[in-house]
Amino acid sequence: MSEATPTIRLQLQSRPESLTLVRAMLAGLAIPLALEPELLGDVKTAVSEACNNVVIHAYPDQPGPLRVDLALEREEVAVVVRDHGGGIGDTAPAEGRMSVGLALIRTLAERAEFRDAPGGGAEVRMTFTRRDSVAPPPPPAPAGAVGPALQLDGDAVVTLYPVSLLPGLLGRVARAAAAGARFSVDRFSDLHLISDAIAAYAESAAATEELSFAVRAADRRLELLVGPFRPGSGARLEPDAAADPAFAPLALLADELVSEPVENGEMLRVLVVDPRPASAQ
Amino acid sequence: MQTAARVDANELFVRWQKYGDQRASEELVTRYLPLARKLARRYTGAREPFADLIQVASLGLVKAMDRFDPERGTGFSSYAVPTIVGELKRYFRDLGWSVHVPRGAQEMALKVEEAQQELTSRSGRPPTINELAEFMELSVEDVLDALETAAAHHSVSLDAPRTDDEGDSTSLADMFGEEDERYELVDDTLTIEAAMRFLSARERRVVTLRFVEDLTQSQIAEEVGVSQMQVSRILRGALERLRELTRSRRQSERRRALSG
Repeated sequence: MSEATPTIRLQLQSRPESLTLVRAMLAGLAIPLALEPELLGDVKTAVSEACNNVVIHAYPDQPGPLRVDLALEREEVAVVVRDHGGGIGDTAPAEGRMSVGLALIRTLAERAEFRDAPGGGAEVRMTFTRRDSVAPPPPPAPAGAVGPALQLDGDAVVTLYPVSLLPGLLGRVARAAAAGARFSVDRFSDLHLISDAIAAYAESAAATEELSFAVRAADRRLELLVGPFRPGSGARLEPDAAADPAFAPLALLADELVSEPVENGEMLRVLVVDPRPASAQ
Repeated sequence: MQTAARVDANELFVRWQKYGDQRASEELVTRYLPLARKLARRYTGAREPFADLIQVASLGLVKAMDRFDPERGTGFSSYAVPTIVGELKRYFRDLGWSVHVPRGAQEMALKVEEAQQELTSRSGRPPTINELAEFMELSVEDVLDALETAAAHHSVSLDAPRTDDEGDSTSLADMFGEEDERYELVDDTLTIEAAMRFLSARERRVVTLRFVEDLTQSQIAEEVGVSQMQVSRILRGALERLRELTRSRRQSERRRALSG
């Protein structure tokens, strides 16, 4: 049985509000990976500081791409926060006038490195030791199943392995995005049901152990793109007669549900809109 | 202290540590308190008031000042940050908040639920997450966390005891008899309507109102006489059950396919 490391990649724009998405994603990892709360707190704080640093120093004038890579090894959690700014000289000023943020990273991480990234920009590499040591064994990687990462567009794009990480991550990130897009608590709760259903669907329809999803949200509109799923899976989401009760709520609550063919299967596009309630003043 | 402000920090440390110079100590505190405040700010959340954490961080600062060795050549800040953070983390550990699901989180979930009802009755529409955060003077992230706690429910396993409409406590497995018969009951043409037989009367009502009548969760809450968050929990519980039932069906199909 080959052991592959659970990995997550989050790509987003360095807007101040993106921090909420990063932290939501990290919170979504706690349960599936049985992370200790204290470790999770340290990772959240240090990664937030690294991202904050990118927002402020790497792209002082306008948002730029920001990437967070996590690898959950048995003994440690490794995180790399990367930007495409002017290099580490911009992102982490020289020792001596070190910011509180970077000092915090050094304090909380077992090891921390600040350096120029290969290909431009800067990266902060952090390693956190796991004290629990009872990491759940990841499923074996099916040979050749993990294809090239999909190119998706969105406010946040997450690529993860294995599929079992999806429920926690998708739900948390989608709901954080919905909160930013001024969803009412009503529709927000619906989104809870919808993301649960997508997770259940993914469990049975995922084409590979590596899944991606993109979230786009603005003005009471949230769009999710998830996949790849096995070709033809989407037909099971039809809200008519043959509907599977487990997935039907997804069909009934989402405003749009489309399966789009891609090279290695199909993607599920879900649109959730929060209409302004009739009784609004 | 205009003149002291220009004095090298290391000299202040010598004056404080070797000669007990109170003024040097005060000057050091004045200089580094902003650092302690910044660190305390990082750890402030819904359940940990800033004022408390400032105290903890200041304590860490004083500890660091006592122990710092200026001879070593590293700046005081890089020594003080780990000491202050260590103090903050110990404070959390002592309170037990970081160890298990805190009671504070449950209380916070309840408060969010109350705030939500208050805001709904004020404006006649369900609030947004931002409005909740503003009203409660919390961060959006704190409200999101509270909503996660509020939505959490134990997934209903088939062996979990449940109360039927008559108030008799049985397990779902009991209701269905032997395992294999259960699979017969849940036939291949199971639709939502069919699967609904396995829900309680209230669950059935809530599910119908949401999926068939297309009422919003707040409208259902009014109709049934519970809070919107309870509606949300009932729906999640019911859907989880439906999912388990269909999962059993898929497993039995797979088993049949294998044995046939």
